[in-house]
Amino acid sequence: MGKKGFFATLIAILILVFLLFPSSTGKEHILIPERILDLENPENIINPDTQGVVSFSMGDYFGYFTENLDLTYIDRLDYKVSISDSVFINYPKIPQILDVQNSNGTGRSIIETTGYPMIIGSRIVIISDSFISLYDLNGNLYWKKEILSIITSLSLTEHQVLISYLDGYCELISMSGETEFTYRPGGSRIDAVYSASISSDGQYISVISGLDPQRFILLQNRKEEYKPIFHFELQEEFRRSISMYFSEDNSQVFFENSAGINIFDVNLKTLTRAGNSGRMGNVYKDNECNFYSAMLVDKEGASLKLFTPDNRVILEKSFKGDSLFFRKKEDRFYVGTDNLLMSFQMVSK
Amino acid sequence: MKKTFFILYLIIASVCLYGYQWPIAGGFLTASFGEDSLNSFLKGIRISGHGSIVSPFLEGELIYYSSESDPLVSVMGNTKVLHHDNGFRSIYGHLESSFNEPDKYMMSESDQLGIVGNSGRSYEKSLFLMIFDTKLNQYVNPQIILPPSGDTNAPEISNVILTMNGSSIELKEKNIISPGRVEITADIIDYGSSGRSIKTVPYSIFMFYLGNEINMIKFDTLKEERGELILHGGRPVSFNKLYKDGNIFMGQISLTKGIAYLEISASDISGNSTTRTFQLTIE
Repeated sequence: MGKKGFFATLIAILILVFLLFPSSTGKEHILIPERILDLENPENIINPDTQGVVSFSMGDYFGYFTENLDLTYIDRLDYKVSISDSVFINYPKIPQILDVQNSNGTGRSIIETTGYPMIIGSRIVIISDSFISLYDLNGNLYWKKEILSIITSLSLTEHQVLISYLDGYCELISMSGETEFTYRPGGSRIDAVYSASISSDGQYISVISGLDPQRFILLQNRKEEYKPIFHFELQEEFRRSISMYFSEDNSQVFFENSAGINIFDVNLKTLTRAGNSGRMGNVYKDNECNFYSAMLVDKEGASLKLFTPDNRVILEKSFKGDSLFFRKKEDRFYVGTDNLLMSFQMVSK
Repeated sequence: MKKTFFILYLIIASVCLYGYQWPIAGGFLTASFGEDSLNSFLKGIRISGHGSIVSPFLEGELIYYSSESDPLVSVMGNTKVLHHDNGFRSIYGHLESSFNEPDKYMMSESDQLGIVGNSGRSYEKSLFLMIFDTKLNQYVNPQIILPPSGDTNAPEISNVILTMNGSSIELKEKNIISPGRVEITADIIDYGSSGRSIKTVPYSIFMFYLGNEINMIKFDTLKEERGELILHGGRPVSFNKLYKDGNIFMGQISLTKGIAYLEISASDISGNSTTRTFQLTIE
């Protein structure tokens, strides 16, 4: 056997060994079921506490539970509910006032409006037929503006509100109501902005705009001005509002694709397509273990997926049902389907 | 005058070029463009009809749809937006709930866009239609481009109020009043063709004093100027300057001694008009 033959045989054996004995992921992850709560027949509701509770909304019900899945508050939806871990607004189809309530059900403030609310962090955005307004949780008005186009998305930081419009632009508004920045991406046959998101530190803005082509654009705040620093054409085109948000550490942008989730790395400027089917629900990034957990929803139900940054699925669990809910808090996963709330704990072996 | 002819020419030309149709068969207005809608101009029209199928008012491309179940809940409920070749975008709101993902995007006038519903902030089933002109960046009154609805009822003018130094009087056919500067407001409504006593605003309103045109209000377009919507067609006017205590603010006039005539006229889009004349004896 010549030198060439020896090396060819060696490479073939190495490939065979690699295929037969793939490297281990290191740890095995198991979801251990802990508790199940039937929302239609809750066993008992513990003394309402406003601290450290987790909000939920699914089907006809909304409320709060503790980390151990003890229910602290439950109620039925009027028309819709906007809910955070500290307050909620259960509002009718034709509102005249909005009753902002604490997580234990006590009244917090009243807002006179005919619009629908959206609680984001410590702010309430209200969109009516003609106006968009921003309030704090105590019902104090920051600003009110006339709406001139269809609003496709909202994104908030502590100091700013980013609004995207179907007319093809997005607008960054300060807490005093001044327009700090407007951006019209253009570059497509149809001008429209389908989603825009701002990172919590205000450094980046991501935008999905236009049709034919539909593009993803990343803007960075440089010298108090946002400049486009990266863009690419998307493989598929959405004609509806697209769920998009930054990870907690602002290093990634999560947004929908037709088969799950796009994960754009802000630093590396790389795109990973994750999941195989379904519409993106909540996505969480676990920095310690370096994996993502996401709920993907489709017509059949939903699947909870844990996957690595290179899209290797390390755990998958399917759930059937119409109304679905998913939250992750540290190593606990809370999943809701058809009036049942379940908690799982992830154990790594 | 030239501007009016130009707008009329544009409307006639566009009607000839594009075959606009009512989105609901046998449609009639339940709310009109520019009327007072919760302290702001209504940017479109509300339509009810004999049919329940909603079709595009003109062939176009579906560029946006939203559902009542989306996280960002809209007061317009289930909504679809079409983009048209002439630069118009038509927006159809309050459609019936739970439509599936659209299976095609190019829609002709005979396609079904949705079903009339009451999704979002709506008491009863009706369609909310807005038309936005992307070339001129303005909302267009759909009535000026849709075919005539066969309306034969003229608008009604009532409660013509003259206010001077904080005191108000309702004008009759003949009036004796003091000289000075006065404000005129009026309740002007159009019942349209529905025969259901649905109050809407007429298409145009004029006020003359001593033969001079004091005000001309036309509900043609709404355009954003410095962050607020301004009604165009007649004299440009903002919402707060047009509506006062639920009535239409017609303008201010200075009354000097003598006999004078104040005339208010209102027309609907079909050309039915009403004129009321008030004799003012100023002494």
